[in-house]
Amino acid sequence: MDLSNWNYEASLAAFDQRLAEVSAENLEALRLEYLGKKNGLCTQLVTALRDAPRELKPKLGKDINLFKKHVEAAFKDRKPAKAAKKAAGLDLTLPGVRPDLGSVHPLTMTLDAMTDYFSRLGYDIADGPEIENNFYNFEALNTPASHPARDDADTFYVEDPSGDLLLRTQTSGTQIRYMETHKPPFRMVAPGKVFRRDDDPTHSPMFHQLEGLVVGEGIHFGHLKGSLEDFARHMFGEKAVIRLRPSYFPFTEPSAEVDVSCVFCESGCRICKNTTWIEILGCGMVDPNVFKAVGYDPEKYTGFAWGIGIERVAMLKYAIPDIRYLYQNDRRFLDQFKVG
Amino acid sequence: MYFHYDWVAEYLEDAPSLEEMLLILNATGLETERDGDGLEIEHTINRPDAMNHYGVAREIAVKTGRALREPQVFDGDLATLQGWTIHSDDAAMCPQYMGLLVENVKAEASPAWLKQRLEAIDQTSHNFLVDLTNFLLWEFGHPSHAFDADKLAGNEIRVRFATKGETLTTLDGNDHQADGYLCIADAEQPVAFAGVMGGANSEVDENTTRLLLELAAFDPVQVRYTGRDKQIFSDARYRFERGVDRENMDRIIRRFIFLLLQQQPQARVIGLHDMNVAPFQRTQIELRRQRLDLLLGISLPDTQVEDLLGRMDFRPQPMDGGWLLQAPGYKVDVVREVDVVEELIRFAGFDLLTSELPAMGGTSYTEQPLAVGERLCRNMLVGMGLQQAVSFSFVGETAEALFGTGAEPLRLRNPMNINQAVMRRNILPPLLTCVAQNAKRGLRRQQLFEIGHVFQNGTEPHHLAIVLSFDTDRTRWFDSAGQHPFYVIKGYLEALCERLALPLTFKSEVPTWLNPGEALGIYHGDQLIGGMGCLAPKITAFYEFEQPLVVAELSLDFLNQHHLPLPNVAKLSDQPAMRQDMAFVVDQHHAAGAVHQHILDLQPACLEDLELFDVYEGKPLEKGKKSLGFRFHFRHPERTLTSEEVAKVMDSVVESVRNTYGAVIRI
Repeated sequence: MDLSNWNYEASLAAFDQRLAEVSAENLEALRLEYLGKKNGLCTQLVTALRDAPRELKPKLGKDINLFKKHVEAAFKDRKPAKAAKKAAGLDLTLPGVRPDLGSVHPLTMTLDAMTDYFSRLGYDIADGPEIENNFYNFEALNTPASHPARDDADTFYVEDPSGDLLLRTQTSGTQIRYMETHKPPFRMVAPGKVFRRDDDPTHSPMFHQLEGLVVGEGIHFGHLKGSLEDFARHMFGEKAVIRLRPSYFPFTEPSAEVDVSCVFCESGCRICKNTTWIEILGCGMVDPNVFKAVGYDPEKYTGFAWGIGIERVAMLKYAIPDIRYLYQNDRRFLDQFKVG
Repeated sequence: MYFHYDWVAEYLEDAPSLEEMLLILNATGLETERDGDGLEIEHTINRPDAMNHYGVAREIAVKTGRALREPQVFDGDLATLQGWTIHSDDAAMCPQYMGLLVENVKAEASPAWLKQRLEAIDQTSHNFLVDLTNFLLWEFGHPSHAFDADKLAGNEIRVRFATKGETLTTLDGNDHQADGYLCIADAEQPVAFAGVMGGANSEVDENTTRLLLELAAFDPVQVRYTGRDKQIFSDARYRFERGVDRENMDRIIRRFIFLLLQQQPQARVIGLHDMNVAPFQRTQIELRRQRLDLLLGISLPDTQVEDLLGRMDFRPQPMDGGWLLQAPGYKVDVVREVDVVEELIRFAGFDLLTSELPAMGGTSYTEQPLAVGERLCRNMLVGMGLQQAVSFSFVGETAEALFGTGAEPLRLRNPMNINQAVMRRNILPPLLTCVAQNAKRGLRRQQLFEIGHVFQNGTEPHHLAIVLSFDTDRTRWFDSAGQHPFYVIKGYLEALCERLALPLTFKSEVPTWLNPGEALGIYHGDQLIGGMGCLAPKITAFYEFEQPLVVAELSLDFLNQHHLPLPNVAKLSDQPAMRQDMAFVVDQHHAAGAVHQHILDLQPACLEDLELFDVYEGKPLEKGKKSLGFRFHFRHPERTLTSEEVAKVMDSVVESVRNTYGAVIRI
């Protein structure tokens, strides 16, 4: 090849034009014409440069080099089109290869939301045994054997020689155990399983409760009300309000049932039975007899306690139609809690 | 309990509408729903005072300040009954017994007004005399009983415990052994279970002309025992075991006479015997202003306090720093100051209270390594794709026994069914029951774990169970994946151990519920705390598992003493790594883990990590041989390693493995 007539600008222009005009299927041919290792134009130019007149070599060398770089860069720029063409072989709608998603049980999700809130407020979290004796489950809670609330129908008893053991019917026994080992002031919550002889779409022989207890000097009913209002907002949203209705529990006095405003409606629905209120927990000021049972001076200390059913909240929150779903561990059920 | 609106309204001046009544009663703590023309009230057990129409009206009167309209009573003189003995063996069992004898009465049909009243609340009309006692029960809530006086032997009533051999046929037709239960007896035999139900032998019938009306007070506990043991659920028992208003008894007797004479003017009231061995006295209660304010967090004005106390009939008398009160007979559960505080706020309304968060000293800090550890386990297992399960704490005895250690399980005395008869000592029996049921529904693939209490020898250790159930049949699964499911469950356990730095070891001695050779025991020190792998064949057969399934179950109680190590960060070397692969061909019986450990024990210089990346058996290897491919990662902390250095280290490793295991290098 004779380089005497070779012109950088003209070659460049000619290349640019051809590149602009070349079809996708002829692109590779064009690339080989210019950049082919053996006979490509650039290779030929470099080879010819060796025989070029000595005085032209520096300029020619520089031009050829620039030309080659330009050509290379130009093909590189066209490459995405080529890559895209190749990738079109993938079916991008096929599902990805992914690890399994686990799931937390809805009862745990509900309990965690509650205990996280109370931990933030400095409540201790206590665990207690599920097999209790009469003292912790009833007597220390101001419910002597003669009390109508002691109807056997509700309570599971365990076969044991003492005849004293039962499956706890409430987490309140943990209150007693906690007070026996702690001095006021304190605040605690106790989550756990409880058992009652009951089995239908809304009752299970085993279910879960969270119990709260705050004891100190000067604790009054307004503290209970304020604590539950704040808790309700945390669980059911900023707009949630509560309503207290007088009630009765052997271990609190005064006692109240607490309703939370229905989170599903504003004017009545199936879930709130058209009342706009949903009953969620029981509470009250700790009965002085309970303090006496654990050796606290009821004149010095006052306190409040409450208990909430976890199943009920979970069922409301996640629209679970049957309580038995919660213990069947059916994958179709658990899979629905991969979210949330 | 159902109450008719018209009946309640009869006792109120300016009675509110039914809708208003609903609101008022609910606000006072009587959970009330509308049902037709009436009120369905669900009482808490402390409210016998409102289990009658007058009592419901009284509740409305106190809440709203309305006046009560008192029912008409007989206000003439009442003679003392002569010729009859009424006696209570124990004043605590029966402090008061009023016996009213009337003659020339007729057990005729009731008048229309009485029938209407009873039928409106779903009560059946029998005859006028019986209906009258029933009416009084629903009017004032105090059960009374009508005996045919001619059927009572010896003109005698004695309240006593029945003795051996005595029996009683109750009005419902059932025969009972009466021995040891509190009875009403005549001169010869029991004629009623006190406070529970009358006997057929003294029943009023169409021939009755002489009637002895009983209005008495009994020990609530005895009434409860009789009713519970004899399985009698009567209106009388329900009220007596909650308590009756002894201040109202005289009025009920006079009300009975009034209504009787209105219908049967020919009836002759012979006389009343009021046996009262422990006269009722009002409990005196001091209500301190300071205590009232302390419990409520607000200060109700004196006028409001006194007004409410007056309406409830506490007869408040001001004293220094509070009031002296006399608790009325109808408030059977109000005996202490705190009970009065409840009554006050019940009627004043919780809406008056402030809302505050308590500010408190003290500390809530306790170290809870078990709770923290459990939460870590749970989060980690969920992160690795497992689903958290919750199963029952009780299980069928047959299933539980398969996992038993020989010792007796803890049985329930009164289970609801045989599948919930014993407490679990291991989480797997109830959890596998769920897995088996779900598999039968076509859901074979399940990856579950559960953390919870189990019950062993009076303790409740916290356990963790994992169940991995696969969707393919055993052969195909083996073929396609090329690995035994045992390794999958082992991987979870290894990952847990690494994450929590658990000091657990795995050994080939396994608990009885696992299949040796396809399972490992999990040890904490020398103690067997669980196991993992394939279930024993008898268990697989019991649950009828057809799918491949591996499990793990272990106690987590050691977490109580376990402290998570703090990461202690080592300096990172900037030097390049050298990687060297080496495959050893050894006899099949040599465990890969042993070879791996052997190499580590040699402590090869600059070895950063050692991976087993390939296990191979088959051609071109000889039969009985296997190849173990290890990948060695070397790095020097301060300089670049040379190939010669690494080759030297590898040579010594190869030499040692060759000498110990007869290994040949596979190229």
